[in-house]
Amino acid sequence: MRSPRRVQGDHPFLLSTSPPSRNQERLAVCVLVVLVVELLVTMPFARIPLTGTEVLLPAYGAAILLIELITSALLLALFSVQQSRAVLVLAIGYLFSGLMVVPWMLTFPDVFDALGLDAGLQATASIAALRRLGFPLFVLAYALSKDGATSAPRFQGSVRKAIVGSVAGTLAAAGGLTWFILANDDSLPNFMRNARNVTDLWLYVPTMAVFLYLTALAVLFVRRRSVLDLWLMVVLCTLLIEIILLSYISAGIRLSVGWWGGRSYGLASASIVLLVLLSESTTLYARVARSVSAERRARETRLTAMEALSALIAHEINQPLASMVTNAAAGLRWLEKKDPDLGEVQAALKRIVNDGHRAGTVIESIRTMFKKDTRDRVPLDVNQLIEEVLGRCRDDARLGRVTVETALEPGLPTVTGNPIQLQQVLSNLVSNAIDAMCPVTGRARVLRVTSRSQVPGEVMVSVEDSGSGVDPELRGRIFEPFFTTKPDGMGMGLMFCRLIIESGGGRLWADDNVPHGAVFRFTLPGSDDGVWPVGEQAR
Amino acid sequence: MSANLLIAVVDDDDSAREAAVSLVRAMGFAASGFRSAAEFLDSGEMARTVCLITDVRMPGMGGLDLHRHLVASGTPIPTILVTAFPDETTRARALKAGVGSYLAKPFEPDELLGCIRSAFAQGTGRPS
Repeated sequence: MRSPRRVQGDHPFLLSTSPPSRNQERLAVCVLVVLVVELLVTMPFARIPLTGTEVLLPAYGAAILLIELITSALLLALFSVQQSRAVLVLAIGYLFSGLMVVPWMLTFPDVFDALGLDAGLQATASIAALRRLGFPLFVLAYALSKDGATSAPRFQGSVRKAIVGSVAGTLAAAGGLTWFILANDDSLPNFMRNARNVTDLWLYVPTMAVFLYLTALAVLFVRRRSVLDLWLMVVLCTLLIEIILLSYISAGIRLSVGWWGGRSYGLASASIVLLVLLSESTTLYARVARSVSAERRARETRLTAMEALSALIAHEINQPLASMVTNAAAGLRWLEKKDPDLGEVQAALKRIVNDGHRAGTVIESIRTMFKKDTRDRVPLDVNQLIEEVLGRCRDDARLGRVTVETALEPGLPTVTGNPIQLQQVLSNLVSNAIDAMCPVTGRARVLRVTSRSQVPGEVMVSVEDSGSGVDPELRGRIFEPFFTTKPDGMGMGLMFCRLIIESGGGRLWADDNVPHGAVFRFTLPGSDDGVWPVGEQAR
Repeated sequence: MSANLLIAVVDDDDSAREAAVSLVRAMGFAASGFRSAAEFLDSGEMARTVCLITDVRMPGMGGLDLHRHLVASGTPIPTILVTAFPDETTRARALKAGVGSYLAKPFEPDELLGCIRSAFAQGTGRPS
């Protein structure tokens, strides 16, 4: 039976799926070494208090907030492309962490006194604890839910709803927790002895945080696959150093050298994933730009080849045609004479016959040129062919924001054909479909490829799009040579598709798709009753 | 018209050349075919050639160059250029070089006849 499903994409260029290069691994180790050296340098001075440095806190908080919000937004964008739950969880983690900076900063003692914000003694520390323990939990959830090599547990519902829902949920959770903490200062755990120094109870928080960091690190190390995993491990190490500096080396003394040193690690850890996301995006952009220009060059070369071919055909055919006309005119002149010279007429007619044969030879030699390719006709698995072509068109589909769906009937009969030519037909139809959906707004852009068997031993393939469809008046003409509706089209694609399909004994036609768009269908005869191209000897 | 006067057809394509020669002869003129510009120049028929019908693209010397060569050597012959691939640049260059007519293959017999007549008219002032 047919099994509709989404195409499992491996998104070779995405940060969350591509494995890190050797250079990236080296860079990550270098970053860690620098961070550890900084830690060692800071250690002796860690407990020196830096009084009056509260003024720097708003700047610090604003930076963290912005960095983590941007990281979250980029991760959400990544989720919308890859539809991996793990990436969504991580994005929510960054959003939560960023949002919780706001109440932490606003309630920090002596920072926003001028605004008349006066939270209880324990509020800031409780918010810090939530943020401190929350983030590694999200990373842990990411590491546990992320996919293996290809068997991705993909998100099945609407991406937009998922994003809006989780952002709203995170906002509500951050707001609700803040409100609860501010309203119930008396029942909060006693983390702070006074505005500067912590109680022994606080020590449970860093201990738990260290435990969570190490667990998440271990899980990530075991399940690491992508660039993102590598840098998240660096982030966790940075956070580990931060908590060691903040809570142990500086003994939790707020605004000391060690405390500020720890804060610098916090800033670094917040920035790492953002920097990696940005640099990877730039690299990807450069790669896409390069491949687009390569594609354009290839298209121009193809155009020149087509032009050369048509000029050649025109030249070789036009000569004998012109001679035939002139010879016929000469023959008529001789006949029109009072005393017709039949010898001259005969000579003219003979030359016409020769010219006709000459034109025929030209056509035959062009046909032989093309027939060379069609000779390698082999039994083919149509479904495999479709998967291969869709795999190659995946990046185009992603750039065109097109969802690719397939409904491939398992156990199709094999067909006979030239794999390269059939791939050309399919990729032509698929890229036509993607192009047709470019102007579509306000509804989903869906490319759906279907295969199924039908009597007598035939296989039918349909390529459906949700574009604006084919104008019924033009439907008869789209298969004509040099007819195109694209501004930069040659009008040769569909003509060649039909030629290839028909030379293999199949049919290619266009229908309306319901409710929107066009569907191109073609049939291929099964291997047993394969028809050879016209002119080729049956064997 | 004098049987002594010849119309020369220069074309490397056998069928096209023979067809043109036959057509011109059916119109009542004496005509001879030549495979190339060089063959025509070496033939000794130049003196009695009153009109030259020549293809533009030929191996060796092309039709336009043949015309220019004749003009440069002081023995200009009224010329009709024919081509299977007419283009504006060649037409402009041909008219500039003093070529009387530029025809696309396949040409209408009456059109060719008109061209031949005007070439004859052009050539009457010429000492023969």
